[in-house]
Amino acid sequence: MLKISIKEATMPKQLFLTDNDIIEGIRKNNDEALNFLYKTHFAMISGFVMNNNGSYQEAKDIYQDTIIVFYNNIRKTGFTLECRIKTYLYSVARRLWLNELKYKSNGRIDITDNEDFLNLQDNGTNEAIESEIQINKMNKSMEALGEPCFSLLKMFYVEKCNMNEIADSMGYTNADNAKNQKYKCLQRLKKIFFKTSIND
Amino acid sequence: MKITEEILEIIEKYLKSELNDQELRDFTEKLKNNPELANEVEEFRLIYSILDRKSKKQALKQKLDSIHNEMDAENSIFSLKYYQKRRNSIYHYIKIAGVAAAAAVVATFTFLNLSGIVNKINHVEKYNELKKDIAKISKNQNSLWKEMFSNEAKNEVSYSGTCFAITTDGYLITSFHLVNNLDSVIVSQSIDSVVSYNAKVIAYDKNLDLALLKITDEKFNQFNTIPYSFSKTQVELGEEVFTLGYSKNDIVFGEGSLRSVTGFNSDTLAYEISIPVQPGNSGAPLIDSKGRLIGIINGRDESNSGSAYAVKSSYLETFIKQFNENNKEINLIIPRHNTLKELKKVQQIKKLQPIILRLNTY
Repeated sequence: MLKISIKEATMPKQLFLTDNDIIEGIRKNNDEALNFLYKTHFAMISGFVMNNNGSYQEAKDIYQDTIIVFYNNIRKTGFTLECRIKTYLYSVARRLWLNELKYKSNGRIDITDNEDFLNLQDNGTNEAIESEIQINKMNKSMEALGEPCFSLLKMFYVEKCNMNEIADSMGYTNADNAKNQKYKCLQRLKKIFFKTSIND
Repeated sequence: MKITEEILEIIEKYLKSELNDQELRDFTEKLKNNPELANEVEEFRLIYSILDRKSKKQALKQKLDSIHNEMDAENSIFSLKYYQKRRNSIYHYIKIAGVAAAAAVVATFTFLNLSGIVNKINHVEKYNELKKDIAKISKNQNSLWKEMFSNEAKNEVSYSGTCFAITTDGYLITSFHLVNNLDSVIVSQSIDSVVSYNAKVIAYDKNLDLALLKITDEKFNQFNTIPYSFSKTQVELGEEVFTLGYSKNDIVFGEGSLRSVTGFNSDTLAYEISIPVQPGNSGAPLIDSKGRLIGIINGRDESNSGSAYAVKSSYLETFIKQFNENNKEINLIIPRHNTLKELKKVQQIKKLQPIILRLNTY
């Protein structure tokens, strides 16, 4: 018999038949609901991104950002979803990917749609999308910094490690040296970040 | 204006509301009188706010990553089941279609072709996997025909290809389409003389066309060393690359350069290279001039005979990581120590040869 070492497929214990079940589940912190949501719509979004010049990795990133926008929004009080989850996700992903394409291609962007989409204009969604776009730009700026700045800033500002831990793991003689280096890196990061803004 | 580290430290404290009353008063005063400084502070405020949001996003992103891995694993199982079903039905179809010899030969080729289904080739026929069909070469058409209608037809079809070691204790990598769902295969090492070992399929990913084997033979001791490392950087177009594979009974060297960072039909999973590969080369490592593994050969383009394709080593790394996550007790270590870097090509080949094996399935 065949040896399968990869984990056997697991079906969610609970069924989420309607959009509302999923939303209620996520509002109640139910991980099964998030799991179900994620697996249900991945193919649609990854298909869209990969059909429009994206790689699998890019598709995965865009999809996760999209899920995060949705997740954070529906957990906010006062937010009501006015279309199907599918349409919402596609519309958010579409905007995020259009923005990425702006970086990738100079000028002309041709996009092939495979779903209906809405021009989502509610404040919550707009703000969340803009925030994701900013974070993505920050990621690119941090990558452009190179080492050791990338790790240094990531450990301090994102993973919230303390200066002693950082000095230790990155081989600085003491925390003060690491701190000084950190500020130098931060200055460079700001420069790179705002430089890319002007080019938009 | 020049922001010194000292000022930046105060700005950071100010934005995090960590200044004491006196410091805060002083700094607010400074900001009022120095619009340039105020502007800098606003820019830093944005930077901090984005970094903060990025940090808050981490936990959810990790959760999504683990869902994603779970989904990938489920998909590879799903596609295997699908594949088995399909293979059986095709085989059944051929068995009952007892027609003229010519038709049988056509059917044979269809069967052979489909027996190594890879996602990518469903809609294109020009993409050729490079497993060597031994039956096709060593037997004449007559016996091939006989084979089709005998009961053991299925068992007599055999393939050969190449595999290579990733650990000294006998874990090997090859192309999934060579081993399909067979769970045992024979691998042979030929340095001075030929030694064959039994090996088992441990894990595979059909979508990536990768399989992990383990030598299970008692007479196998271990490989002396794994001389190559995995390439960590993006490979550049035009980079010189070479491969060693068993397109005949002896190991064969082939070299060329990287033609494209995408494979057949712009498939991002693979590289396109200008090495004239032969059937039997599937599963062979693709190595760059510095001795780094950049891919695993798995196909060629029939209409453009100079082109071959190789699955990128980054996907092999992902495959191994995923395997490790599910098999903590095994924990394969990816080769990191490269002893080929400074060597001439002839020396590199000499060092690689012992860990590249011929693979036979029956």
